[in-house]
Amino acid sequence: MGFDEKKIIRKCQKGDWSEFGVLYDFYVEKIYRFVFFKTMHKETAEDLTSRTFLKVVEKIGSFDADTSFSSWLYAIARNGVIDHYRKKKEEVDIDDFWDICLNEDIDKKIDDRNRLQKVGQYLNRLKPEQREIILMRVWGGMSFREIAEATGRSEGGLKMFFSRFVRGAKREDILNIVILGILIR
Amino acid sequence: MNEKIKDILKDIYKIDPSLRSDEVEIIKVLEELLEIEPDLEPDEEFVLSLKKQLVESVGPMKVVGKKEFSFLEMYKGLSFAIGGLVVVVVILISVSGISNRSGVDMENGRNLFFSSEPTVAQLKDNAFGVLSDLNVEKSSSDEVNMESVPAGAGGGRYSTPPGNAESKIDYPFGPMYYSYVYAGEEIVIEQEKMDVFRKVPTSGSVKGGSVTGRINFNLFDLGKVGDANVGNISFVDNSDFGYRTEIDFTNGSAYIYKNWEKWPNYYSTTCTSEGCYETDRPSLSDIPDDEVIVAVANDFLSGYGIDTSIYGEPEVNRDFLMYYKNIEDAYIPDEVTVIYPFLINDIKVYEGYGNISGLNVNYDVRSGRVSAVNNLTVQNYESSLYDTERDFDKIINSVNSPDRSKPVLYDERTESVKVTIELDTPFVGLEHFWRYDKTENKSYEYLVPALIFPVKSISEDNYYWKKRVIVPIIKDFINQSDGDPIRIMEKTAVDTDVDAAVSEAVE
Repeated sequence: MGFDEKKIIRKCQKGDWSEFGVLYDFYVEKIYRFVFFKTMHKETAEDLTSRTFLKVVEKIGSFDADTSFSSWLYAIARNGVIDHYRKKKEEVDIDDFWDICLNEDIDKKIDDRNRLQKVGQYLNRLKPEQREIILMRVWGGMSFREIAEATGRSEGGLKMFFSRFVRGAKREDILNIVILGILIR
Repeated sequence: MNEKIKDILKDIYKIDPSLRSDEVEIIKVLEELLEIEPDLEPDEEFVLSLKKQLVESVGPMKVVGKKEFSFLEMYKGLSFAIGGLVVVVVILISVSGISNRSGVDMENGRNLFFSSEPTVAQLKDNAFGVLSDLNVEKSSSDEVNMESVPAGAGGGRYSTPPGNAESKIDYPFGPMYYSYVYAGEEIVIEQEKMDVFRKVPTSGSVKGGSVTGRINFNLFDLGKVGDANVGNISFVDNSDFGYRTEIDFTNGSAYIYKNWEKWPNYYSTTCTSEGCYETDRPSLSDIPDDEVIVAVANDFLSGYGIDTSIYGEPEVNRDFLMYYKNIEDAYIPDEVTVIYPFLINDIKVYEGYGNISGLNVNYDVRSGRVSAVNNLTVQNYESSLYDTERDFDKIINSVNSPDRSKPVLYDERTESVKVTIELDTPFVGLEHFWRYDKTENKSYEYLVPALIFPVKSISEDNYYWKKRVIVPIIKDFINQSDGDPIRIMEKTAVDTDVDAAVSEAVE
């Protein structure tokens, strides 16, 4: 990050938005990807990304600049996703986005549904939050730290979770373990 | 091998080198995952467009802190209501009252967002003048003497008072004279002055020219309205279970209610006789638990982009049960209201008759849907410090003033009844008043610090229709009149003649 994030936020809070574009440029793709992983739908991801940044503009006055901006930003995006699924009245767990996207919302660019379902079989062995983390790492190329911020979990907590999982896992879960292994850096 | 896969494998082997024996299988999984990798890059056009939108929206705006100003898309949900119209009206607005205080420059081509979050601008002490001299009237819609307020001058809307003539309380009843007994703890009021809030009017916020130029209306030249203020705009959704949406720019309010034509009318289709009207009425068991009703209301508001975080915890109003000795006798309404309390600086607002004031969402018992949203209003206030009445005895005495002790609704043909009401320890709230200023020919809304006394008990075999008694503690407001009691009219000879004529015609 080649800029002073806190300084820019404080300026915005005082009404000087001249450097807000720097913040936007740095985060917009990250937020878009984060939302995409949860919706698997381009237009929805664009809409929720827009709402996230509009909310940032609206609420930045109440943001505590001494805390993590990225955590706050991801929390807004996450809430937007939750609202999105509430509006859609999905009967499935809102975290179970994989099922949702297989049902109806899958992006048109992913046309090989059979292959997707095959990989989905692996991923469905995991809990939704674990699956989300894998996609962020493999597809999104996000660092472990970034994933921790996006999911609101601590790096240390995630590592501990993983090591416990590995120790307690059965042989047939090897693929899951392997995939989770991707996360350790 | 793909560089990305190599990179990931490196990570994996760092953790557990023994996993190298499963490398073929691991690579297969990773290849499949990467093969179906969707396009994760947002469109450049989208990124630039959103940036432009954000820059435009924050450009001239000065953000001055949460309690003073905040932007919100109050009518976010309107987009799909507008979508159903043949003519799409783009509202290009300049807001004088709001923009001047918030620093928002509403240029042509920019959308206006009313602030839905309460904003308060502090003025000097006693800035609203001597309030005791004004024609201040309680906001409680059943108590306001509307005759004194010219039509169109603003003010509360009439609603049927609780225990109205349609309910099943045994009418007629005699005049009830109330005697209040304080049964709470001793109270000390320390503040010498407290803030009175006056709502900033939004009247004149939208000019006709900004709207009419975009509509082809050939019946007459719409340009003739010139820059007259826009009063109301409404939208009608003609799909099944559609809604009508009205925006009242004079009072800065919006109403959403069911489009009667597109909702099933049980009483004109299924039930067409007096008998079924009685027997098929909703029963208490038809009303879901509060959590269910609140969830439906939340979902609806969320769908319209209405931010509920600015209100207090929603409450389902089950007051329709409080007027009956036996719940089985209760008249169960077709609609139940969820109230999202207004909060100003975290203090709840109350109507003069004791109910919580807030955003109201009506839940239709038969369909399980939201049937109306009322009181969705812009909450921009100015505040000014006024002298507080610190003598608690005086406050208690004011509770027993003739205004509060007299009957509200009575039939003078029956004997009067004296009802004793015990009041519990009060807490601080804000009481909602309307004030009609004759000199300005305009009504203003005030929120006035008040003590909220919960009703602890009612003398046996009597009923009282308030759950709380509200007493303002600002000196200028403390003895404001509740208005005259409403007498149930006895039939006159003319009425009797009319009845007879009607009967004759029917026969």
